[in-house]
Amino acid sequence: MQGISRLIIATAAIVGILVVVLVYAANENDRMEAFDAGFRGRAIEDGAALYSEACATCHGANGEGLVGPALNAADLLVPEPGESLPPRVIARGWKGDLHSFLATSISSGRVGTVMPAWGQKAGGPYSEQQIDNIATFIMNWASEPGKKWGGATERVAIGGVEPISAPVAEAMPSPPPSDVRSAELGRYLFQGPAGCAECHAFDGATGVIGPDLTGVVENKGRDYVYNSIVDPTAAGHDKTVMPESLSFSLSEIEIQSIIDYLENPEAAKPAEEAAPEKPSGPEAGQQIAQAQGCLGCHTVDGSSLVGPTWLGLFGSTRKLTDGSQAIADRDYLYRAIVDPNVEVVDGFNPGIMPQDYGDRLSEDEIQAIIDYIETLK
Amino acid sequence: MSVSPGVKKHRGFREIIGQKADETFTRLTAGIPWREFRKMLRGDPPTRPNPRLKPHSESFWFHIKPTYYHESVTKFAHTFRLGLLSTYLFFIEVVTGLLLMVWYAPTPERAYLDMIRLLSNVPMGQFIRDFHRLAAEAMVIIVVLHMFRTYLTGSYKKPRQFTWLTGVVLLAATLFLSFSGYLLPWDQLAFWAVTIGTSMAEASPTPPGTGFIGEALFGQADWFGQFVNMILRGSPDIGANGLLRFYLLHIFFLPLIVIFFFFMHYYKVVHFGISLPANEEEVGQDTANRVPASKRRYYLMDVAIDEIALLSFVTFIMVVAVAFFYDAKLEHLANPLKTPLHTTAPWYFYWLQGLLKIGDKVFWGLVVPTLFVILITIVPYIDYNPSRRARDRRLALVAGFLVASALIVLSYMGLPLYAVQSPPAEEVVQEFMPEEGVGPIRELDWAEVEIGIYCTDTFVGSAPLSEFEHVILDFKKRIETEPGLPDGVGCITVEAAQPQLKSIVFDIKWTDIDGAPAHFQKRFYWHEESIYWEEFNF
Repeated sequence: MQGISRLIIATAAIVGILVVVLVYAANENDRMEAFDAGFRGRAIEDGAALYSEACATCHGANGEGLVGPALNAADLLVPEPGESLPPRVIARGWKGDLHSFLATSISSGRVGTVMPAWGQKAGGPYSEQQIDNIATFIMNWASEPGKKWGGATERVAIGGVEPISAPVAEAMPSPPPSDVRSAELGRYLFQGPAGCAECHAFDGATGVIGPDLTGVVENKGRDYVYNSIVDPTAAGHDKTVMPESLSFSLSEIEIQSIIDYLENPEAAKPAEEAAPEKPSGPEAGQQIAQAQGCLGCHTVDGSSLVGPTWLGLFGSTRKLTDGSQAIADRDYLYRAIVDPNVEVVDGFNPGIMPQDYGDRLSEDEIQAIIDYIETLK
Repeated sequence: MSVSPGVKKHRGFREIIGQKADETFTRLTAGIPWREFRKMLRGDPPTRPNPRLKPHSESFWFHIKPTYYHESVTKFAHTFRLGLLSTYLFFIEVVTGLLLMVWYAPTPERAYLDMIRLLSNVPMGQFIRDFHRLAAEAMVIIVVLHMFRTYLTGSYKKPRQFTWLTGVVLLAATLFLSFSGYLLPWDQLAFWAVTIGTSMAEASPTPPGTGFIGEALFGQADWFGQFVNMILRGSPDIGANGLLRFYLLHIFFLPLIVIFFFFMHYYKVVHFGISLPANEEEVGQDTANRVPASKRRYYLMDVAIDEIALLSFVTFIMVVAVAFFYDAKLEHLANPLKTPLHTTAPWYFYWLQGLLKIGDKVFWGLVVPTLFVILITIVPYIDYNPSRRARDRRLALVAGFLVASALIVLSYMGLPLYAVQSPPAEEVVQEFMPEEGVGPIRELDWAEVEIGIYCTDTFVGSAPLSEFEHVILDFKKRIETEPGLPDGVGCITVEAAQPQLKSIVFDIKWTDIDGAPAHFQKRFYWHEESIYWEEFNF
C-alpha cells in the first residue's frame, strides 16, 4: 500500500512537471516578444535620462535643436518615400542604418563642431550600451517628429473634473505681425512659409532652381519683382516652375514686405545681429557660454557633469591628472579653454572638450567667459 | 546440470524470442530478469539467492549505493533526506548551468546583452535561468539544514568526524558557488553585491609578522588585503578580469571542489552507514553497519522508490514555482559610477553584513567570522561527549540553537531596512518609485498615470478614486507623517516626454533642522512597454 501511494505521488509529479513545462513552452513566443518590447522600453528610459543629462543643453530638451542641430526632426528620423534612410543621413553618405548612424555620431562626435566624442572607445564617458540607448531614445521621436512634449499643469483631482492638458503647441520663433509691412516679415516669409528660399539663392538661402535674387530690386526695379511674384508667366517667365498661386496665398502687405526684404536684407536682421557689439563683462560671458554649449558640460551650481563645475572654480587650487597642482587664475582658465588637453583636472577625461575654441571664439569672447567664471564664487 | 539430448531441440519461435528479450532486459537492468523486476515493483519479497543485489556489483551508479539500509534511518523524519536533496540540486545546477553556458560569454561588453538575449530570444531561456537560480538558493538552504540536522543528532561524532569536515568544505563551496554566480549577469545587483563582498576581503588585515613579505614583493608592509583583493578581482576594481575570474571559479574550480569532496563525503557516509537514531544503540557504540536481517530495507526497489517519489515531488514544486512565482532578478546594466540605494550582499551573507554593523570592521567582519568557521570545522574534535542522546547533550544543543538564533538575528540586522538610511526624502521616493523593480507607481496601468502636477498640499482626488489617485494619497500621507520631513510638501509631475514615454518627477520640499528650506528632486522615465524583473512572469 505504501509502495503504491509513493508511485502515485511520483507519477502525478512527473505528469504535473510535463504539463506545466508544456504550458510554459506554448507561451514562449508571446513571452519573448513582450520581453523584447519591454527591454526596448527600458532602453528608451535609460536613453532619456542620459539625453537630459548630456545632450539636452545643446540639442534641446525636446530635441528641437539649440547649439546643436534638431534631432526631433523628420529629416533626421523619417525616410522620404522610396528611400531607405532619412535625408540628413543620406546627405552624410551613411551606408548603415539609422540607429548605427546616430550611435556612431554620438560615440565619435563630429570633428569641427562642438559635438564631442561620448563613447568610451574615443575617450568619452559612456559605454556602448548607453550610447545605443541614447540612439534608441532619439529614434523614438520618429512616430511624431517635431512634436513638442511636456507641459503639465497642476491637477487636484482626476476623473473628468479637469481636462487633460494637451501637449503644448509647437514652439516656433514667434513670427512678426503679418498685417504690418516690414522687411522682417519679408525675411520670415522668404526663408520660411512662402518657400522662396527653396529655389532662390539670397541672403544665406542656397536654392538653385530659380535665379539668384541678390541685387534684383536694385537692377530690375520693384515693379518687375512684384509682377514676377503675382503672375510669373505674364512677367515674361515663359517656361517657369514658379508657382502661380502666390498672389492668392500672400497678402499685398506680405508681398511688399518680401520685396522690402529683397531690396535691403540688412534691415531685416534682428537687432543684436545687425549691430554686433564687442562682448565684454560677465553677462556677455554668460550668454556666450550658453550659446556655445559650455554649460552643457560645466554646471554653475556645484554639481559635476562631464566637465568640472564652474562654481567656486576661480582662484581654487586644481589637482591635475599628472599629479601637479595649478591655481585657477585667469591665465589658467584661458589655457583651459584654448588648449584643454594640456592640463586635465583629476577625475575628468581628456579629449571630451573640443580643442578648437581658440579658433571659434574671439579674444574678447574668451575674456568675457573668464569674466563670467570669475563671478561664480 | 546435464541436458538430455532432444529436450531443447524443438523450442518454439516465441520461446526463443522471449528468452532473447529477457536476456536483453537482464543486461539493461544489470542483472534483474523481467519477472523479478515485476515482482520488485509490486513489492513482493525477492527470490533466493536475491537477484536484486546484482546491480550493486554490476553497475557503477548502483555500486556506490548501499544494498540495504537500516529501517530506522530510512524514516523521513530521521534525515529528511537532505543529503540526497543537496546532491540532486547540485545535479540540476550542473545541467541547467551547462545549458546557460551555451548562451553566455564572460566579458563586460557581452555578459548583460547575453542575459537579455537569453531572455528575449532563447525559447525556455528564462525558465532555465530561473530554475538555475532557484535551485542555487534552495541548495544553500538545504545544505545548511543538512548540517544543522547532523549537528542536532550528533552524527558528527566518532567515527564520522572526517565526514563532517568534508561537509564543512562542501557547505563553504556551496556558498561561494552561489556567490560567484551572482556576478555573472553583470547587472547593478551583481556588480555591487560582489563589490561589497570583495571589499570585505580587501579589509582583511595583514597577518602579524608577515610584513616583510609585502616589503619584499610589493614594497609595502600592509599587503595582505590588497593582495587578496587583487587575486579575486584581477585589478583594483571589478572589471573584465574580475568577471573572468568569477566565471572560472563558478563553472570550473568550485564545481571541481564540490565533486571531489562530494565523493569523499559520500564514500564516508556509505562506509560508516547513516547513524542510527541515538536511542537505538548504546552510548559510545556505533552499530549502523550491523543491520539484522529483519530490519533491512533494500535499496532496490524499496528505498529507490522513496527517493524517486521525493525527487519528482520536489522537482514538481520547483517547476511550478519557476513557472508562476519565482523570477531571477535582472537589474540595470552594471554601472561602476552609480551606487544604487540599499546595496546588499546576497541574503546568505546578510549575517556578515549584520556583524559589520556592530562595530569594528576588522574585528566583527573578519576575526569573528573566521573564529566561527574554525569553531564549526573542529566541532567533532572538541566535543568529547560520547553520547548522541539529546538529554546528555544539553550544552551542545543549547549552543547550537543559540548560534542558529544569532545567525538569524544577525541576518535580520543585515537587512537593508535596518541599514544605514538615506535622507528621508530619498527614502520616500525610493518607496514609490524604486531604482530597480516595480514599486507602487509602475505597478499601475501606464495610461492611467495621467499627465499633470499633483502636489500633496492641494490634491484632493475625485470620487470614486482611481488607482493612481490612491497612490497619490498614499504619497501624501507618507510625506505628512514622515518625522524627517517637517512642513513637507511633495509634488509628482507627470509629463509626456516622447511617444509612449512619460517623465515622472518627484519634488519634495521641507524645512530642515536649521529651519532652512530644503529640497529634493528626482526624475524617472517610464515607457509604456517596459518590463522590470518582477514582471517577468509568463
